[in-house]
Amino acid sequence: MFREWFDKAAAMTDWPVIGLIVFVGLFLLVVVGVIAGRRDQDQIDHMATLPLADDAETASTERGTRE
Amino acid sequence: MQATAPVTKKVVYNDEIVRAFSIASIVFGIVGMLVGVIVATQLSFWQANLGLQWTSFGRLRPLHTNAAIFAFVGNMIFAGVYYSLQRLLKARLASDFLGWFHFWVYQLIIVGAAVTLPLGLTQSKEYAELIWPIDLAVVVVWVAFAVNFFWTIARRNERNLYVAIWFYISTIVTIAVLYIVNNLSIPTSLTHSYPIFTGVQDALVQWWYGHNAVAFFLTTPILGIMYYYLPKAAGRPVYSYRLSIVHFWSLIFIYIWAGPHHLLYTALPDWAQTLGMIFSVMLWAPSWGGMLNGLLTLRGAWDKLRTDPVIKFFIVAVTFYGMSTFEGPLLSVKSVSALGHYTDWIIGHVHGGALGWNGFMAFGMFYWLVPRLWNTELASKRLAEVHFWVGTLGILLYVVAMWISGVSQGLYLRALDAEGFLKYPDFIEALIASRFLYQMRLVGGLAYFLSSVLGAGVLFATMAKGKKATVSVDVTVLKPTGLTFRQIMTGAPVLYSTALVVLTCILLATGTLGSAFAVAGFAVVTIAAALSIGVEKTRKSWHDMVEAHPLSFTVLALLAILIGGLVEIIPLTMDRTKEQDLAAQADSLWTEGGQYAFIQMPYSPLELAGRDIYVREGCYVCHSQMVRPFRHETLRYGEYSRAAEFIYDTPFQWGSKRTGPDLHRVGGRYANLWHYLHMRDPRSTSPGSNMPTYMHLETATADLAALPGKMGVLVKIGVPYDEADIAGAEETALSQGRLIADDLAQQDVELAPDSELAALIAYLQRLGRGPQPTGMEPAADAVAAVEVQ
Repeated sequence: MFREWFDKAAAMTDWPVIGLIVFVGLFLLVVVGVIAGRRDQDQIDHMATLPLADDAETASTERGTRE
Repeated sequence: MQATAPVTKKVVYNDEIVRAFSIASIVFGIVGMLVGVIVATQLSFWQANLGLQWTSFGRLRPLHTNAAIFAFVGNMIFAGVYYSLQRLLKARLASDFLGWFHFWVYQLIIVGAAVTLPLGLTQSKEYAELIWPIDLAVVVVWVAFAVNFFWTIARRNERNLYVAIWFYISTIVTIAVLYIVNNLSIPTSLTHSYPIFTGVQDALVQWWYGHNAVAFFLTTPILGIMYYYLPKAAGRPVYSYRLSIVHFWSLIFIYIWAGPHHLLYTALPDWAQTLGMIFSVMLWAPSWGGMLNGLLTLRGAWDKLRTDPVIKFFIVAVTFYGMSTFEGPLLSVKSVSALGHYTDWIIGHVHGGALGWNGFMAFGMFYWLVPRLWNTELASKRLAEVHFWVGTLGILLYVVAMWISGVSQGLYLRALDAEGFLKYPDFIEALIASRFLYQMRLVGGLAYFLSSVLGAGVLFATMAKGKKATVSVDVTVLKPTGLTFRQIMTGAPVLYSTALVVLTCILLATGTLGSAFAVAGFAVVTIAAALSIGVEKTRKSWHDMVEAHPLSFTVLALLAILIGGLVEIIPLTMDRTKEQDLAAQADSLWTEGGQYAFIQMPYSPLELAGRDIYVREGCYVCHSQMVRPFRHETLRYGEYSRAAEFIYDTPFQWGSKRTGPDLHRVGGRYANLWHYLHMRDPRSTSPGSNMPTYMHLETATADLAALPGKMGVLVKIGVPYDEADIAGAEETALSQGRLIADDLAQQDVELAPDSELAALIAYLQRLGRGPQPTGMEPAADAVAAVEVQ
């Protein structure tokens, strides 16, 4: 059934073209979304600095505690 | 209305599991690199195979690759993920039990691989060699890891997921898909199975997996680790968070398509090859975007490069990432692949990534992590610096040797004289010419290994002088975000993307009217998208919402990686049924006009037994079975290989490297005696060869009793053995073995007809041509001995 559907739907060589168009279209959507889409700058800064935020953690060992 | 005060709580991280994975990674890293040094020695000095079947190159090389990828880098990934995940989510690992289950079963899997691979228990698919019971254990472990990972996300105290976690998510979902599909097989015993795919389909699925094992096991989790640990080490946030969004989505979407670049100029359909090449070239953009995002994170802190060994390792690692991701697409261009494929250039490319990117990211991370996990200072910065410089020198020696060797081999083997014939017809000359470069590679690999031993020493000394730290942090408990799956999946970007996919399908799948409709649809969607940007400005960012909704994020990542796989694999699976139809007419085609029609017929029982021995010994590691359509290849090896010839080959044995010559047309090229002597002592027939000896095959008895069971499984896969074939398999195999033994006896060589060597000779003599006489079935034999009318 699927074979017939595929044979009817498109020649096999069309699939790469479909893939390419879909990719380029989606890529452009992502780029436009990222560049032109509104995003709270504070939120971006917060996310970007997230790895640095855990520097305030407390490490304790049998020898003592380090802030 | 009165606002409620934020609730805070203390979170104690589970770093014990991180410590365990760190130690495992360092230990197995040394083991994996040691095996690498051993196999590099074997390529320079064949005596290093020790004349033992368990230590031959064909069996140790998969052990080296599996140890390096899954034991060293795998454990490093889990250490890096478990440490950063808890901190980025401000939550303890959801289940300590699942964490330890993950750790111990994973180490058992590694030990299982270390035992089974030297024993020759293998599926022979590169980086997927492990036998089916171990594969099942891997699936169980991966599920445990995924459950613990997503459960921890569900308990998080940070609203949005940081970019590192996006890469971890893509790793988890993609590896699950790849690993399961590529390892689909039917067992014939506890230690053996046949893949359900055959020939071209098997090759495409394998390299879809193989390429994306590099992409989603050796790249995306390491990029996640880069996005967390590099800012930590530099003390600066990532250069561009916006760029990381583009980097992530474009990388995971493109990467999955690029697998066919491992099969350029093979019997894979041309459209799939072209698709693989195009997407590989497109990978340049996101890869370099990610590399630059990493390097520029160090803006304003480049002085640390002089003083901090962690930064040194990270920066050189990211630089090697850039070099490898430049070289990979370059090698994927068909004309470059024509030269570089099957040569040492690929080995150099792989090791630039493995030693430079993966190895240095691992050591950079451990140099940063271990002092914090043991609450102390690094035992010796000076020795870490020595590790860095000796390791870097080792990488350079290694890759430069392989570049020169690879390009030389490519040029040497394709050289034609003025009359258009091979200038260097003897393959072995190219190998001999590479000998010095193989020794140079050995020196480079040895330097890298020794520097890693030194690094391991520094890390273990650091652990010894410190004390295990328990880390806690006060966090504000996260309130429910209120976002729903439906809310996100009906967001404008999803709707536009769906419209784009549908319209593209309509454009290409229908006639003029449909195309006009699709073009009009594209225009409407474009205008709507442009208008929606204005609307978007007044609302919350959609991607911001996605980052806060892990389920939606995971579903979208899964869709992004599935599209490429489906577009490549489904059409080819459809194609397979056509090949089978063609193969069903094999008898008539075979005898048509008395011409050789290259239509594959199933292997005889003895040939099948010989094929399994070929697989067990890892012959595919050094020998391809794929003659590419180039004059220099057809002159050297014979007619180029065609897809239909592999219809009953499972697992496929196309190989990816030619340390020895291609074997697809070796059948009938040499006498049985030549093969007998060659397997006993390769240098007796091919002076200068570095192939191990296979004397054990002469005395070992082939497992002919297993043949009916194996053939029964192959029938399920689509190989047309009938009941009589299966019932008489053992007898037919013995009969064919006697023909070989009798032939050898005429030349004063005694070989048991049921020996493994007889079976292997039968298989090799069958390669590239039709059925051979078995001495049992006149009807079948008649096909091979067809009389030219």
